[in-house]
Amino acid sequence: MNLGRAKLILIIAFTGLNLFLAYHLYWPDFGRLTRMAVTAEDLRAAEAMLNEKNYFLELSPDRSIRTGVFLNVSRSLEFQRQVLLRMLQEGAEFSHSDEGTFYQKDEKAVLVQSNGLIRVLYTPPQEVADATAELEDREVKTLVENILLEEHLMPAGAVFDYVENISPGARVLHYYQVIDELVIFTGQLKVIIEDNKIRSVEIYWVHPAEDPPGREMEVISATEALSNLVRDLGPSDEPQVITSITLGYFSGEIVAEKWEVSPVWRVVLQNTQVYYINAFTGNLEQDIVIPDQLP
Amino acid sequence: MTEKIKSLLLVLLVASSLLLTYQLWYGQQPAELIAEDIYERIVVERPRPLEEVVSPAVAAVAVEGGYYLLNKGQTEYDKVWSEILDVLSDQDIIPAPEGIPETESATVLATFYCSPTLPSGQGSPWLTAHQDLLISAISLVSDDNGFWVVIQDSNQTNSLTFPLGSATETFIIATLRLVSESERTIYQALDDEALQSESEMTIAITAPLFVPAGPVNLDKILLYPEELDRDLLLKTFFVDYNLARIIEEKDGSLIFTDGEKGLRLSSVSLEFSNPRLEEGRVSFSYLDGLNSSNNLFSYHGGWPKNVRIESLTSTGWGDSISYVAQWRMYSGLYPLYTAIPTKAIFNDRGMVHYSRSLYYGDAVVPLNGDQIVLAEWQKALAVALEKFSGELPGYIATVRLEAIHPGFVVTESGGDFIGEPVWFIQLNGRRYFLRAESLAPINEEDFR
Repeated sequence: MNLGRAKLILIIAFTGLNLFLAYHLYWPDFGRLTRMAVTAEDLRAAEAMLNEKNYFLELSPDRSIRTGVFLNVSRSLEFQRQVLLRMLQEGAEFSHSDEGTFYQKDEKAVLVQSNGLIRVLYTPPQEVADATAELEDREVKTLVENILLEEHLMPAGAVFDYVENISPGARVLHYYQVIDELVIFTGQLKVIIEDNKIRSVEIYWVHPAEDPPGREMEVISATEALSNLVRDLGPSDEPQVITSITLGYFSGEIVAEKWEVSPVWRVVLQNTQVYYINAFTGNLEQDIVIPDQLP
Repeated sequence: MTEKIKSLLLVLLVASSLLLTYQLWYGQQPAELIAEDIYERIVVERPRPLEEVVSPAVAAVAVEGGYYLLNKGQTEYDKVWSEILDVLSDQDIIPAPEGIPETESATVLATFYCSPTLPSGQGSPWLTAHQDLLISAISLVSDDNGFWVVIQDSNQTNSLTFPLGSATETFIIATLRLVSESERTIYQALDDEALQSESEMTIAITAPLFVPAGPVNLDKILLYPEELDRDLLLKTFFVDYNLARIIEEKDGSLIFTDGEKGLRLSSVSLEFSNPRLEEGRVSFSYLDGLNSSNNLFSYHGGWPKNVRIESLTSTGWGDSISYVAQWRMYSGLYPLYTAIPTKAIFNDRGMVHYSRSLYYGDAVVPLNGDQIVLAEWQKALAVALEKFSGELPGYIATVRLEAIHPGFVVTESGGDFIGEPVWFIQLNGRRYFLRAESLAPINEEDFR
């Protein structure tokens, strides 16, 4: 091969490489993937700080610059209406109490609380499989989902999250809500299972309000969120593995007409402990501060 | 020649690929540079001089058969108080060492009652050269030897007496004569003896109290809630209010919260809480507390007319201590009571809580209709005592009468805000609001 041909091949190869790099750097849709909120150096420093406090990253956090808006939501009255209509069609009787409105039909009862939380209670518990069967989490999940679908208790946009084993034979299946590809951790579905029987299902589902979206703003980086969380939690006596850090939207259950949900970094420790860090302010999300009279 | 161009092109491509790779790896620019500058300059009302916003709650001018009451905003009060302020701010004035010489002719012409008390000493606008006084009352006394200002400390044992110059004396006497010659409602001062004849219970008075001695007619009044600049308010409570999420309540109120602080704005009030500051303590003086309350009130809404600071006290939870400042709007002599008090709780760490619900004094106009004749104070007190006994059956200890005066409670009727005339009576901390004429109780839940 002569030198001229070799140069030509290299020119073609480097032209391709340059085009590839420029595409990722400057093409608008990909810009956000490449403008780094976290440099390699920042990441190393964050990991060192976490390790020093006995927290260990099991994954590589999102390093890109991300943006978010306040998402306007209200309680999902549509799903609530579907559940209650079905109960009434089946001949359920209803009564009011301090807890909320109670719909009862045979062994199934639905309690609708004023904050929008729907609780489906089974008395006796609904059987998923034989009580003595030793089922894997994924097997229980499949069986439970079939029952929820059959009973129209699986709202649209429900995505499986994780299984929480609370005691021998007792576990909780967690689902969150996805609206238009946005992960909404406010929307939650929990299935409480004991000895392969569903005791209750709790559903808190929200609906996007029609207001125009707020101003898009840059959120803090994943490493900053982790640093803030560890600062708030303090050093751990036992090694804690950070198993997930995801950008989504979250607020507690609020009794209101409609409300804004903030972008959050959701951090999961040991696959079970869930924390939400406000992605705008960097604060650990706790109970909403509702002004009230102090003594 | 072609080979040279190829070589040059190749070098350029290699160099640019290295540059692009570097940018891709380390990022184009640090994220901090992308974030918008969130700090914004805001213009709020400047705090007013302390002597302008803290003044005696009421002045009782002695007249035949009782007293005329005056408060801030009334010309005669303002004139006389201005003269007294000149005395209090005179750093060279020397008190009479023996006080007023004891003569039979000494007469108290008027007394200004201070609530909150006025602190003296360094940094204070009142009696800077005299330390550690908390002035609770200022009396104007005349006798054969001249004219005196008597300053009473809150512990009732210390007092200072200052002689007045002849020019000041002439001006004050002329002003007080104008007051005594005018036609006003006559009030009587209550004392323990007068109260014992009204009830079988033992009643003790904890502060100077005045009640109308004769019949009083009152109108219901139309009120308008204070309108505040919402954007400006948000900026005074949040460094970057864009980071505060909004919660819309069923009654239309909006809550703004950034996870640490919360602000609720309704059509008639605002409430703010910052619970993380609750654990603070107070290391500043009572005088600094008054200054801080003045600053906070100016910063978060400003000073409308007819509002006065009514009290500054301390409160505590566990090891924490905070100051509580409370303000109230007045219509003439009478206070307006609202569902949400106007008050601030603050300590070394900052403001823990602030609520504000004010109705414009400028807009106070009588509603059409028959005037309401205020029931006699004895009947009002009897109703309040009956309710008190009903709430605490078997109570035999002394009942503290802490307040008894006419006032207005803010209610809503047909979309209008109405100031409803009432008797306000406070017994052992228990508050009773009785309709002025019928003496039917009004629940505080019905206030707006």
